[in-house]
Amino acid sequence: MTRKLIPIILITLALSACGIKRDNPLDPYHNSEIIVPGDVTGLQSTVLGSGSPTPYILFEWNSNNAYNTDGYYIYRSLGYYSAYAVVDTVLHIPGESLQSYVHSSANDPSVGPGDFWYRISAYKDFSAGRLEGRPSTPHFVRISGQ
Amino acid sequence: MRYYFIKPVLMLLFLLSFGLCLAKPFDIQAFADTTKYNWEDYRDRAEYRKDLLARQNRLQLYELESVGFNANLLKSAVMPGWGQFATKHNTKATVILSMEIVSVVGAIYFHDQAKKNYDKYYAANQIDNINDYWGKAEKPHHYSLMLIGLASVIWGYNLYDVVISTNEYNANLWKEIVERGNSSPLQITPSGIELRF
Repeated sequence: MTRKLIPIILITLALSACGIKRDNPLDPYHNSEIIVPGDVTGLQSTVLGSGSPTPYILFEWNSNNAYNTDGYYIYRSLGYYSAYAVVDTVLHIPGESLQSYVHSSANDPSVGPGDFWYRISAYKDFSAGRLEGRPSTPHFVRISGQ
Repeated sequence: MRYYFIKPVLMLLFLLSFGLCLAKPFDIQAFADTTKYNWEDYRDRAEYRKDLLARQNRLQLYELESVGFNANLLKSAVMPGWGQFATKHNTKATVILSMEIVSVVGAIYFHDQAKKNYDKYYAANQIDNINDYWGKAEKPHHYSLMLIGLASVIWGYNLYDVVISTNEYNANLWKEIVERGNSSPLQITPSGIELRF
């Protein structure tokens, strides 16, 4: 009985040892050349032109290292826990201590009076594709009406 | 030229007559002596004949009702528990079949979950999603493999068990046929129904 069970147990163990491969080309565990983009910190915003027909929001945040960042995604949502949609992408400007972005009603008619939540994440381009880092904590922005 | 066959025929006749000279005469007395079978009289012979017929009947019944070893092994290899059903080990068969079905269905379910999450992992380009989907793909994949392993062990045990249960069934069947033959006044034999008074 035991002799018969041994090969079965060995086959089972061999099967259990097989695993799916972590082979996403953008996965740093799979590809050592992949660098994870740094976290975005120090996000601040200033609402300008509140009450005017063309309000805009100026965002500023601490600059990431160019080694791990080529640009940033700007996300917006109507609620803290709601789904965030990309509103724009910004290229990283090396040598600056702060990076900035202006979300303007001139470019995006959805920028108007109301409450919004913004998040920003960094990205890095590789030959295998673009890898996005962790998004910042949601940042609340209120645009007052007239 | 025309009598070329005479020589072998003569040789054959010679060998035949030589053989006849050496041959012992057929002992009809010894042949007809029934005491060598422990038959003292015609009643013993009738009893023996009756016993022989009964055993032949039992053997025929056994051949009709016994479960073929190879066929039963094949049944269980195709569908675990089938062989045990054939040998009337219904509880064991149900347990084996149920466990096999649960293991296989579970393995398929977890494999499916793993594949869905693996596809998401492969397509992901955000570091949190990559890690998250990988975790979600890896776990069910391991569960799937464990269940495949369990299904293999059950399948293997089922084959081992069907060998034992088939032998046991056939052994018990012979005893049962003998008991049936001794106890029941109504006999169902391969040649028909027999009622004893």
